[in-house]
Amino acid sequence: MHVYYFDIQKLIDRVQYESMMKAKNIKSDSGESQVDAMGVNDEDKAYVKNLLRDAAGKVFYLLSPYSRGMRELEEPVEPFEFDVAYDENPGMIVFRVNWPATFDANLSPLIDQAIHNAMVNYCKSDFLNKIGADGRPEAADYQANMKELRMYLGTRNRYKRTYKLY
Amino acid sequence: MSYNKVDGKIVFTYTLEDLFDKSSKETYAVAKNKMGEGGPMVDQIAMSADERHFFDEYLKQAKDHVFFRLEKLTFNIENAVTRDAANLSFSINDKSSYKESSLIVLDSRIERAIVNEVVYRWFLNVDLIDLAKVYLGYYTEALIGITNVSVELRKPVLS
Repeated sequence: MHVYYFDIQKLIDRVQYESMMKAKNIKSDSGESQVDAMGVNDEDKAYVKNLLRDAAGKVFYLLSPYSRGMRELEEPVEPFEFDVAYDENPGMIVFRVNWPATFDANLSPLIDQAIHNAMVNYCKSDFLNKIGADGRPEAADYQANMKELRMYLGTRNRYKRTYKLY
Repeated sequence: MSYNKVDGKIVFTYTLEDLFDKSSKETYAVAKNKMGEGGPMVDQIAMSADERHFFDEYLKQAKDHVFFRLEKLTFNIENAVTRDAANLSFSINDKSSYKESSLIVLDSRIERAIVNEVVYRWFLNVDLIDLAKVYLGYYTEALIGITNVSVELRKPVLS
């Protein structure tokens, strides 16, 4: 079994940081940064956490074919958990998968990063859309991350012939 | 430098005496160059200690306008703005992800915003509309500067 886990607070921090980077350069006619209106401020973090729950669910939908049967194990586990303690760290998102034998394990770090990016970009896009700003670039990034994730999930090692032909 | 860091907060503190002194000096600098029938119009234009009650009134508005620009940085802080007989203070969250120079600039802009608003309102009061417009410009610029610099203090530390 392979476990991918992500710290919710760190994800929210990254959403906040990147929203500030964008909002900083969007200025009114008088030159004032629109950071109050367009950035994720501290009071918005609770809302971003809800968006993160949605994002994690969408990611899990892609991973779910590799998570079947986990609840029926002798020691059952949940394939997807949100805001739980993992490895003594509270506030984690946990995905559990069983990769097939031909899965390319070298791609595991890329899968980790694609999941991370997809969740962050989903939150950024949805937040901007909800406040009436243009979240389309972030939505496009999210779609690209999900496409990458699908590609990595579909990559397999070639079967190696273990017998001699003649 | 008018700030210090305590308990996860950055507290900007300004003495009322210093703010009054700076505001008054701005008005005196204008007054000595404005000639009336009997010479420089210092009595008519400068904000002296006798007019301290005007300063106190204008300071209330200036404090609110500055706080509005800092409000998003005060999440979970009780009494983010305090004023007593001697001092005016603004407290914001300390996220430790900024350059010290950003704090220095923010400190300066808060002070300029307060002083320029007081002077702007004073010149409106003494019917010097053209000068009031100049200080309105300075005051607006300082408020915009507060918002723009505060972006650096809103970013979290990434790990």
